[in-house]
Order: sequence, then C-alpha cells, then structure tokens
Amino acid sequence: MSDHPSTTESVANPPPLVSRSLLLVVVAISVMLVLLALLAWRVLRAQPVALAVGDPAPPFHLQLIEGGSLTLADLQGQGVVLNFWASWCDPCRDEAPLLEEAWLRNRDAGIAVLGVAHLDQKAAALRFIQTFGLTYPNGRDSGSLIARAYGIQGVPETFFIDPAGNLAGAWRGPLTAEAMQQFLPLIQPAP
Amino acid sequence: MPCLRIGLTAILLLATVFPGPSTPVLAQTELDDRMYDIARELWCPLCSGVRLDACELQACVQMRAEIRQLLAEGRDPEWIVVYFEEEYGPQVHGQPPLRGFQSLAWLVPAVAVVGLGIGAGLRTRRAVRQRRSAVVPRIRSQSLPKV
Repeated sequence: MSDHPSTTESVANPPPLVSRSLLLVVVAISVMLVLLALLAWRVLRAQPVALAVGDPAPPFHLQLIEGGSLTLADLQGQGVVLNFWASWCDPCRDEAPLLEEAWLRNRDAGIAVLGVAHLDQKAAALRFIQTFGLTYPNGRDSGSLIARAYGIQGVPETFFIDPAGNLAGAWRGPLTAEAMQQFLPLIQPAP
Repeated sequence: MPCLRIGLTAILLLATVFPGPSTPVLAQTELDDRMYDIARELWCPLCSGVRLDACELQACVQMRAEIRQLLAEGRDPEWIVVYFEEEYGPQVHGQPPLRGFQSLAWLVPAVAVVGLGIGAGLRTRRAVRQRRSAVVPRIRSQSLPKV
C-alpha cells in the first residue's frame, strides 16, 4: 500500500496559490513604507539649520519690496544686520524703530541694515515699512528660501554678519538696545 | 406724528419689496466659500498640522485675505496653490512635492509596492509549479497497473 494520500484528496485540497499571510505581509509592509516615507519627509522639512558663530553666512538673493534686488555678495566688505520680520508680528513693531535708528547712525560707518519680510504679503509689508518710516532696504523672502538657509525659528530674528561674510552673532526675539551695542562693534569694518 | 409713522411704514414696506442690491452680498459669500475651499488644501506654515482655513494666527488671516483677493482677480485655484507654494515655501503644501529629494517620499513606496508585487508573483509561480509536480506523480502512481 502507498503512503501517499488518495488522488481525489490531493486534487480537492491543492496548496493555496498565494497564502493569505503573504498578502497581509505585503499590504502591511507597503502601508508601513508609505507612513515611514511621509514621516521622513515631515522630519526633514522641520529640521532647522544650525548656524554657529564664525560660520560663513548663507548667500541670498533678496527681491526688494520697492524694486530691485540685493545679494549678500553686494554687501561684501560691510557689516550686515539681517533682520527677519513680518507685518503680522507684534514684537517686530517694537524693534522697527531701533533698526531704523541703527541704520541711520551706522550706514556711513559701513554697516548695512537689511530687512527680510517672512511669510508676508507685499501690500502688508509695504504698509509696515511706511508706518514706521523705514528707509533701510527691505525685501520679501519668496519661498522662504532665506529663512530656511538661516534656519530661523520665528520672527523677529536678527543675524549679524561681519565684513568677511561670516556670522558674528544671532538674536532671537525682539532686538534691544543692549543687543545692538553688543553686536554692532563685532561687524564694524576696519577703518 | 401720524405723518412720520406713515412715512416710516412706507419706507419699511419699500425696503421689504425692494431690498436693494443683494448680488454683492451673495458674491461675497460665494467668494468666501471658494477661498475656504482653497485654504483647506493648504497648511499653516507656522503651526504644526493646522490647516490654513482653521488657523487663527494673524499670518494665516492675511494669507486667507490674499487668497480671496486673488480669486476676485480671476485666478483659478490651481494657480493660487502653486503661487502659495512659490511664495511661502513647500511647507504650505500638505504633501511632499514630486521633485528633488522629497520625491523619494512618493518613489520609495511605489518602488517597494512594485518590488513586493514582483516577489509575490514569483512566489505564486513557484507554488503553482510545486503543486503540479506534487499532483502528477500521485496520479501516475495510482493509475499504473501493478505488475
């Protein structure tokens, strides 16, 4: 007698073509990969750039609100106060007069103040500039490219760049007169 | 006094019969609806996981006003979404863009699904072959007459 099961038994119960568990594993892995990829995207997107004092300041090209454009290379040899602001930001209103004063007082000494409107509309930014009578150059950061290059976490935020184009300091939050006194000498061009 | 009362009643009646230009009010509501439809597709660039239509930050209020203005200028919703991404960065978009490094968020799962599909197909083919090779010898062994 044969040890094999009968013919009718073999044909009636063939091995399954694709096991259900394999299908479940495929679906589960696919879903997991989709979620992981989305998570990775969100984490990468949220990752702030960490600039340190002494690092070369990231280059930028700023479209000025009142026309024209300005790059960091255009300001080579000058100290630069790069201020991120927005018309919807209340603390930005507090520091605007301080920045204007610093510009008027130091522009002949080789220090440029530059405003970057972050996540703002042209008309609203222009109203802000007119309200505070700002005369230093201001531009809009299209695509938040400059904000991402500098890794800002909010507005207002200010970076002090020395005449060699290196970062001399950064200030998160509204500027104070004390902060200005601390950082401006660090970016003063040599006479 | 009766004259004043009659006059006021007449004004009220006239205001009821001719309610005045209602089109701008309707147009405003429709424009707002369209604005919120677009804002629902976008995300607040300052918050984490808050849609633009639901965000109460002043920045988002201004952005919604901008959408409304662009709609009033005759821009279509697709144009506005692209404009917002260009103006405020990719963070306003609810999904990763299909370009650059971030396209991996789309490509990796797609490649994984295709790869797993091919793997499952190969396994199925092997299972079919094994089943055939297992069934045929049994039939032969039973149908052959014993010598």
